[in-house]
Amino acid sequence: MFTKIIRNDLKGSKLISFTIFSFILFASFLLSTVGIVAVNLSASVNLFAENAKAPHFLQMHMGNFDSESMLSFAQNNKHVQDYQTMPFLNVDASDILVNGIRFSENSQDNGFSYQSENFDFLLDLDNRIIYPKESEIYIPLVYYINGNLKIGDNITVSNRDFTVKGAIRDAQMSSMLSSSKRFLIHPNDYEKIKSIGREEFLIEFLLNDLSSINMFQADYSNANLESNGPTITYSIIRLMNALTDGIMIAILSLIAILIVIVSFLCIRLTLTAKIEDEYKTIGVLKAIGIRLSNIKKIYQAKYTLLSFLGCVFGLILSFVFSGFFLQNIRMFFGENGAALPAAISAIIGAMFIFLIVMFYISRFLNRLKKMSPASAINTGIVSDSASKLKYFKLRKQKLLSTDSFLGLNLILTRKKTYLTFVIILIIASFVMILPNNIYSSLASDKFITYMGLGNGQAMMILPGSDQLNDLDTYLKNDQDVGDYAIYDNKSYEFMLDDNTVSKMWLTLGNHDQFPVLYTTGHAPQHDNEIALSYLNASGLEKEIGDTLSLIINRQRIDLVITGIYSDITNGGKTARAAFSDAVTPSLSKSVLMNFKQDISVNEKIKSLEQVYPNAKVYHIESYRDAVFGSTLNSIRTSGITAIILSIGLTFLITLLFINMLVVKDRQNISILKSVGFTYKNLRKQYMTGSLLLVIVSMILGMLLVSTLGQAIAGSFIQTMGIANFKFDINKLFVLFIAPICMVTTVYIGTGLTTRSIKEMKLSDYIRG
Amino acid sequence: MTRIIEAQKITKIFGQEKNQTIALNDVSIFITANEFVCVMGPSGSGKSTLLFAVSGMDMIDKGSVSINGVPLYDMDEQKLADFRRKKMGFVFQNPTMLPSLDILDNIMLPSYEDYKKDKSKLSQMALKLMKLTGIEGIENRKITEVSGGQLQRASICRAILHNPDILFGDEPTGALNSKSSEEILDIFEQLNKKGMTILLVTHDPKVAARAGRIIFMKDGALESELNFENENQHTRLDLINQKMSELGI
Repeated sequence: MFTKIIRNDLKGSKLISFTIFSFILFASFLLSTVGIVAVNLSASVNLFAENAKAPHFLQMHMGNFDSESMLSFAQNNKHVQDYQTMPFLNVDASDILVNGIRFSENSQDNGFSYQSENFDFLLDLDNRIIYPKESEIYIPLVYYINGNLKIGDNITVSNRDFTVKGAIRDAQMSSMLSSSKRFLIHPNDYEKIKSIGREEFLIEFLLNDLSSINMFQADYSNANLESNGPTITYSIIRLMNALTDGIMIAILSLIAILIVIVSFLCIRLTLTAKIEDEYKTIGVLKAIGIRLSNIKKIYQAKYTLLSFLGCVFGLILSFVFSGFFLQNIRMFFGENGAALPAAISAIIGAMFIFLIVMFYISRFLNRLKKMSPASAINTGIVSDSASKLKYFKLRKQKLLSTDSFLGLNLILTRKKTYLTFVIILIIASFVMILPNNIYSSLASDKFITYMGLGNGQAMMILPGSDQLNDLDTYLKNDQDVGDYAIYDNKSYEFMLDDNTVSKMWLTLGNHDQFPVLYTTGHAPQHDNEIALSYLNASGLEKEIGDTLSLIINRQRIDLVITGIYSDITNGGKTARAAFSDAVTPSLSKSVLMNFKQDISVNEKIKSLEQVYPNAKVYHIESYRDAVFGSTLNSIRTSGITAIILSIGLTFLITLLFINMLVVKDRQNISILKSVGFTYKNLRKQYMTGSLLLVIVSMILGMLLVSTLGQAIAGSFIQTMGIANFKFDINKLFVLFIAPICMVTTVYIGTGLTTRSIKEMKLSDYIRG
Repeated sequence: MTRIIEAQKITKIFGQEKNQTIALNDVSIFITANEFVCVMGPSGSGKSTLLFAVSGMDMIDKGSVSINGVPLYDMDEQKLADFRRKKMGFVFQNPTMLPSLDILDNIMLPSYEDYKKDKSKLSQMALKLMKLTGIEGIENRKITEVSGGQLQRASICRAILHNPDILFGDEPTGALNSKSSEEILDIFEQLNKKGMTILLVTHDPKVAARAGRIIFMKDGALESELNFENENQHTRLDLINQKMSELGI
C-alpha cells in the first residue's frame, strides 16, 4: 500500500519532491563533508605536529644571549624534556634574488635556517625530515603554492647561489597567520651568508607534559631569561595551523544547518498544504478509527523515501568530492591514514540529517492529534484560512487598489503559510548579505585599526634603539612625509595578581595621533596610564579602571588601565603607554606615517628602505593583505557563491510557494474570474503579496545580519584578538544591489508561476 | 423579440484522443430577452457545460455564442472579463465567496472597479439588495458565520448588484432546504418580472416549474422543450415529471 501511496504522491508533486530531495541531499553532502574534513584536519594536524615535533614553548629573541644560563635553566627545570636553540637569519627581501630579480614577497619576515637536531623539524611534502645538501634550498610552502617560487629556481643570497629543491612544511611558520617564513639550507651555507642579515634565535622547549605549560611559562619568566621577542606556545601553533580549515568547517556547518532549516520549512509548507487539502479525508480516517500513527505513516512515507535517498546520495557525493575540500589539508599537513574514522564520521553526518528530518516530520504531524474529526468532516476548512480581521475591510480602505488590497488580504489571512515563505526569504537575504559584509569590513581601510595598527599609509620598523634623533629629524625635513608618529617598543616586567612576575611588550609614544580601535575606554594620555590589548586584558582578567604594576627601572609603578584595544600583532598580547623612559633599552622603533598628496606610497617606501637599510617598511594595505589576503579571497569567493545560492534558493522557493498557493487558491481564483477579474488582476494580487514580503524579508534579513550575523562574525574574529568587531558595510551592495537581486528574482518567479492562472478553467473548480 | 443569447452549433469535448467525451454535440439554443429558462437532464447530459459555454466561462471547441449580438469568443480575456462583469451575473450551487472578506465586501467585490469613486453609493445599493433578499444585518459577518441559505442570498446579491442583463444559475438551490429554496426562487421570479433574463440549470422539477421554458438535454444534445404560459404550478409539475420519466431521469 505504501509503495502505491509514495508513487502517487511523487507523481502529483514532482517539482516539490525534487526540491526537497535536493535540499536534503545537499545538507547531507555538506555535513558528511564536514565530518570527513574535521576528522582529517584533526588527524593531519596531530600527525604533522608529531612528525615535526613542534616545540611546546618557543621564545623568539634577537641579539646575543646567555646560552649557559639558558642551558642550566633547561637542565634544572623539571618540566623540560628537551631544549634547543635554533638560529633564524632575517634577510630583507631586497637582498634575495630569484633568477636574478629582486624577490617580491616583502610583507613577510623571510629568514634562513638549517635543520634542527632534536625537534621542530622542517619536513618535505612526504613529511620526511629534509637535510639539504650544500647549494640546495627548500622554500616555504606558501611561496610554492602561490607560485612565487618554483622548484628549480635559482636563489641568490649574499652572492651565494642556491637551487630550489622543494617546499617545506613548517609547523610553526607555514600558516599565513605567522608573519615569518623559513627557508631551509645546509649549515655550511648558513655560516657563509650569515653576514647579510640579522640573526634571531628561536629558543625552543619540549615539555614532559603539555599540561604543565602554564607553570613552565611562569618558571621561564621568573628566571629572568631572554625574552625580547614574541612567545609562542604549542596550542597557538596548532590553532594557527588549523584556523583556515577550521573556518571552512564552520562555514560548511553553518550552510548545512541553514539548508536543513530550509528543508524543514519546505516540508512544512508542502505538508501543511496537503493536510489542508485532505482535511476532510483525515477527519474521516480518524472517525472510522484509523490510528494516528497509521495516518502519520501515510504522510511520512514519501518524505522517508526522499530523506533516505537524499542522505545516501549526499553521503556518496561527499566521498566523491571530499578530495577537493581536503586539498589544503593534504598540502599543508600531508596524508594521515584516518580514512576509516573519516568515513564513519561522514556516515554519522548523513544519518544525523536523516534522523533529524524524520523527527521533524513526526513532530509536525502530531498536530493531527488535536484535529476534531467532526469539525473536519463538517467544515473541511483548517481554521487559519478564514478571515480573523474584522476591521480590515475593502470598502473602508482608500489607499490601495482592489487588487493590491486582495493581495495584502491574502497574506493576512494566511499568516502561518506565508510565514514559512518569509523565513526562507530572510535566510536567503542573510546568506546573501553576511559574507559580503564580512568581506567589505575586512577589506575596508578602517579594519587596519582593528589589527592594532593606526590608520597610516606606511609603517616602518627599525630594530634596536639607535637612530631615533636622526629619524625624527629626517622625517621632519622630508617634503614627502605628512604626519608621522614614532613609537618605542620595549619589554617590561609586571606583577601578576599572585605577585609573580611576567613580561610584557609595551609600545610607548603618542597614541592619539594614529589611534587604534578601542573596544572600551581610550588611549593612555598621562604617565600613569596604560592600555591593554584585548587578549592581554582578558588573559590578565583586567578591566578599565584596574591597575597594573610595572617594574620600571627596578621600581614598581602602578598604572591605571584606560583602554582596551584590538590587536593581532605580536601574538595579540600587547600594551600601550604614554610615559617616557630613557633608561630601558628599545627593542625596536615603529613609525606610522602618511605621505603628502600625489606621492606614490610604493616609491616612497623604496626610498625609505634605501635611507634606512636596516628598517622594514610596510605599505599598511599590503600588510593587511599579507595577513588576511587568502582569507579575504576565500570570503570574496564565498560571498559570490552566497549571492548565487541565495538567488537560486529564492527563485526555487518562489516557484514552489506561489505554485502551491495558486493550486490551493484555485477555487478563490475561479470565483474572482467568474465575477470579472482578469488574469492581470489576479497576477497583480499575487505580485503585491510576494513583493511586499520580499521587501519585508530583506529588511528583517539586514537586521538579522547586523545583529546575529555580526555576533557570529565577531566571535570568529575575536579568536584572533579582534574584539568588538563592527561591520563596515558596502552600502551600494546592501541597500541597492542585494534588494534589487532579491526583488527581481521574486518578481520573475511569481510572474512565471502565476501564468498558470491564465490557463485555469474556472468551470472545473466551481461546478456544483 | 430580441435574442439575448444565440448559441450556434456549439461542440465541447473533454479529454484527449482515446479518452474523449463529447459533452456538447452541435448544440444550438436561442434565448430571448426577459425569458426565464431552465435546463434539465440526467447527470452527464451536458447541462452545466452548456451553461458555462454560453456564459463564456469555458472555451468551446466548435460553434459560436453571442450575447446581445456580441460574439463572446472573439473577445480577449480582458474584454471578456469586463463583459461578463457588466452584462452577466452568476449563482452557483455551492455559494462561492472569498473567506478572507466579510459578506458585504464579497457582495461588492465585482462592482468595485466600476464604483471606484463612489464606494458609499455601491455600499448603499448592496445593503438595499440585502434587505430585499432578507439578509440585512449580516453584512459584517464572515462567510463561515452565516447559514447556507443566507450565503446563497448573498451570492444572488453579488450577482445582481451591477444589474446584469442575464442571470446564470447552476443548481442555485441544490444545497438548500425546501423553505430556503422557495425563497430564493421567489427572488428569481421577482428579478425576471423586473426584466432580467434568467438561465438556470437544475435537477429539481419545483425549480423548473417556475420557468417559462424548459430545455431538456440528453447525451450532450437538446432532446426537447416545454413551454409554459398560463399553466398553474401543479400542471407544470405534472408535465415536467412526465417528460422526465420519458427521458428516464
